[in-house]
Amino acid sequence: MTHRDPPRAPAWLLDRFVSENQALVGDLLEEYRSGRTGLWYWRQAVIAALRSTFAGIRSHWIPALRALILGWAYLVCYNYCIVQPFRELYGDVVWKLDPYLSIRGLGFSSFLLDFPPHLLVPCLGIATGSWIVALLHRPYQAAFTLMNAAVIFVIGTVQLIVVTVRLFGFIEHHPRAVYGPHYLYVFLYLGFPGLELALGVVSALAGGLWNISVHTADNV
Amino acid sequence: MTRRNATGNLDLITMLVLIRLDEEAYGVSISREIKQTIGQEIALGTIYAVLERLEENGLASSALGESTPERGGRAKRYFRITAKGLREINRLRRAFGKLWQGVPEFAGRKA
Repeated sequence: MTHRDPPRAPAWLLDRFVSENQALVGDLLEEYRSGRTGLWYWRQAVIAALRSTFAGIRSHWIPALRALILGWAYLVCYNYCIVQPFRELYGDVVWKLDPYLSIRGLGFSSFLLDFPPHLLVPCLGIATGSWIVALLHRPYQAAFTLMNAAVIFVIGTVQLIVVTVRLFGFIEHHPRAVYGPHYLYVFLYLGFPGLELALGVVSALAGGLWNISVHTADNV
Repeated sequence: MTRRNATGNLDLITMLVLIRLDEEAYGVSISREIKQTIGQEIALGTIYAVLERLEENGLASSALGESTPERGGRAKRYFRITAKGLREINRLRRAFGKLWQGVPEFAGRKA
């Protein structure tokens, strides 16, 4: 039996998602120190985190449903009260400042102009929403944070599929409207919603995990 | 045993392993015993999910044991089968016995 430390990332995952089951975390460490590989530890940690999450949601489905409704109600309010007014204000400011800054003349103007209103501010909303949900559901915050992120991932993926199907339909019917190689057009067109999806999931995880207290018996 | 558990082989395997290991049944020893007897490795997270389900149904009970340095100071959780669990095992043995009686010898035959 050696006293080597397990890989940090799966240990972090266990600390946050399986913190209530210290016996399981101890068993995994004991097995790892008896000669198991890092890959084995990774696999076990992911399975344990997912099982713990599903078990938490299944056995507390009413708080889970409440957390989901609360999270989405917050996002709807945030969208109407913060995102949309910000977009209008931001658009006005950019138009007024453009003659001085010449932002629109830059090659990456579209991304630069769209980033704050379409990515940064919405992601802040997702992160704060997830933070609030985690704060109000202390015993099950890890499971509900993962649930929130999963719901955002599913909805975002469906949106991305819809956009992709429409895009290919457009290319098929209007091939002359597409300038340059088609794959480049697809990449540029889908890049932004793809980034939106990835940042949305990361924001949901980051906001919730911010709240999760860590219970470890020692610094392994 | 609930209807869902009756269909799960892993529940039955875990209960039998608890009987075999008696007072030495905790996560690691259960996992090793399952691997040794059925030749298949089951993730510890999955085994704990089964054990917790058995405990919820009153078929097993658990108690915290000693903590050791190789476990990072974390206590072991020992599991034992309950009287209700033993009754359930006996009921299943009788039920399976009856079922096997009606099955013809099929060794060497193609399915």
